Amino acid sequence: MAFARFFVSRLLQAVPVLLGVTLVVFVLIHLVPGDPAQTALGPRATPDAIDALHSQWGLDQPLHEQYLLFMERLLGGDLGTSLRFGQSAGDLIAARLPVTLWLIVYAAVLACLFAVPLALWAASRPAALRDRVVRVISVVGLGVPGFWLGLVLIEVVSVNWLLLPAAGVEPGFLGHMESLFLPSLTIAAGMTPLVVRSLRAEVLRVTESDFVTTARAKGLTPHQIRMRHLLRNALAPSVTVLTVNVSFLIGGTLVIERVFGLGGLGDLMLTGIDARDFPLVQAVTLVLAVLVVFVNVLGDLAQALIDPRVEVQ
Amino acid sequence: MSRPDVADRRLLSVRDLRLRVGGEAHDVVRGASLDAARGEVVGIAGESGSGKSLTLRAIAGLLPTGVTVAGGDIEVDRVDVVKAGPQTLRKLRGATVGMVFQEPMTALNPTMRIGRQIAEAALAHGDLSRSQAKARAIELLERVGFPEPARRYRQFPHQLSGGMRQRVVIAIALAGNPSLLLCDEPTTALDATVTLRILDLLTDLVRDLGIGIVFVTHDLGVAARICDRIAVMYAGQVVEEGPTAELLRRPRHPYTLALLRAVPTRDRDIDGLRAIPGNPPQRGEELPGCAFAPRCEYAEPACRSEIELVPVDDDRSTSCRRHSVLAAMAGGHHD
Repeated sequence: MAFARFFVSRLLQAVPVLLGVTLVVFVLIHLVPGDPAQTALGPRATPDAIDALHSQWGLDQPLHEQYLLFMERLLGGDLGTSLRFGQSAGDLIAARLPVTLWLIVYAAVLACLFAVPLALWAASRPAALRDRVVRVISVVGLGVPGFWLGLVLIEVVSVNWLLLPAAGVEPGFLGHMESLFLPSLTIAAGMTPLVVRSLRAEVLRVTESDFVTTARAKGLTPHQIRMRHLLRNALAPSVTVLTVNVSFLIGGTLVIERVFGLGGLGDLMLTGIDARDFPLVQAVTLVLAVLVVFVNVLGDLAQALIDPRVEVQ
Repeated sequence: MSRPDVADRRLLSVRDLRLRVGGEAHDVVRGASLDAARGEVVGIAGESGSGKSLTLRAIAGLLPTGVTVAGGDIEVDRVDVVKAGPQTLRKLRGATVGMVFQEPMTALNPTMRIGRQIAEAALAHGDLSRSQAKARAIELLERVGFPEPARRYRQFPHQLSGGMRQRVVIAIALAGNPSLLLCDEPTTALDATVTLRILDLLTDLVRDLGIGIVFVTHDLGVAARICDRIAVMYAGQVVEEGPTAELLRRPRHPYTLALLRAVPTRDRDIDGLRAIPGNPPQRGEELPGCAFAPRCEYAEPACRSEIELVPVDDDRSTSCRRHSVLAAMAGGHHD
């Protein structure tokens, strides 16, 4: 299958990127001024403790040996041990990753549900009242800071109306749907305007295409033309916008995670940074980077599904 | 102009059509008239900007945004296109009038399989089931010259050459069983051999299906090959109209004559070509009388006053008041 081949080739293309990521993450520990072990252990660490940490992290080895060791552990599935928790960083991440993934996917789905109808509605009458209304909503959505909107939503929806939980994650699918709705909505509010803008512009551009005239010449209804000919062709650039935004979102959910007390990856990262927990920060960074690469591969796949010409290129 | 033999086969009648661009105070098409019947190919020939494509678009009620009908009548198969509402127009398009466009590279939806694009057009009007529409699409693909139509059904436009894409566009236009096919320079984007095959296909369709075609082109060679009658347009007006052979052999309008002299032929090398002196009128230029008069070697002062398309001979008409001079001179003119 052409599509399967495309998928595999995109995955293979991601390999050098991932190798680059491991290099950057590895170097991370050396970018901190001073001795990383000293920094991690604090000013009152004994020289013995520092030496012990040096040999534990392999800092007494030459640099390339250190990298090989790092890669060897990594490929063996060992993401290192957290200093702060005294636990495997991999286990810590595995426990927190689901919430973050849920949040990102939920927010992306909500953003699409808002953006597609809004963009079509606005583009159906360019420069008319509806178009301007959508534009104003977009600007407001872009301008409102996420943490503020999150707090307002908690105050209004959870505290005043007693509708949805204010913090934490409930177990189960429905529990997740319910408890993650407000945080996802908060993120989607910032993401929707960008998708609306690109989709609206693209719908207007495609409306002028020759094939839309062909569709009109067939005697199709405006609704048929919109759904079958306009939307799909206008979607590709918006998928790119969405992909870029989701990429930013990975690792960028920490503020929302804090506001809603969700304890996801962003939260773990913040804890790691606070505690100068190098192994943990390295591990989380690596996982986030892999996620970003994966999202971009998914974005490319979506493009290929939308537009058959992508596979050929 | 009156052709009683075709009165019952009459498909299209355009009378004094005026088209206006935006709020500008002048018209880009200034009183064009045209007829077409079943089983005949009527050409509209003219240079860029003469208003030929807009006239064609107006017939299907598919004028670009900002262009409006400022006057005149268009009747297609007894439907008044100018007064028709969106619903009536939608039923007309595809079912009565099919359109073939200039650019096969962009006229097809790049993200939809060609078979579905044809089937969709068949579904829009007839009460076919999905599988019947698919069968119809495959049948049409075969009709327009696709070998292995069932396999080709699943292809995307980018997998086809320009000529094959144009065949798909023609299949789409035919899907609703229209009686009138409007072709907007359908061969301009194609190379010479492909052009000939497409013209042959269109000629076959007229013969086999008994449809009528209005064929817009700037290429008199193409027009000569496919058209039964030709209407020559200049600056938004039909300046001469008549049977192809007569009109090309003995033009009754100096503009037609000038166009003919600008066509390269086998026994006329590049130095023998004559460019038409001057330029077509600018948009908004006041045009009392004959718009071609400023560039015309036969013009006399009276040409700058009122003109109209008048019948000459049996079934020809011209807007040139000096057509008799041309007729006398063209007696010895053979091309």
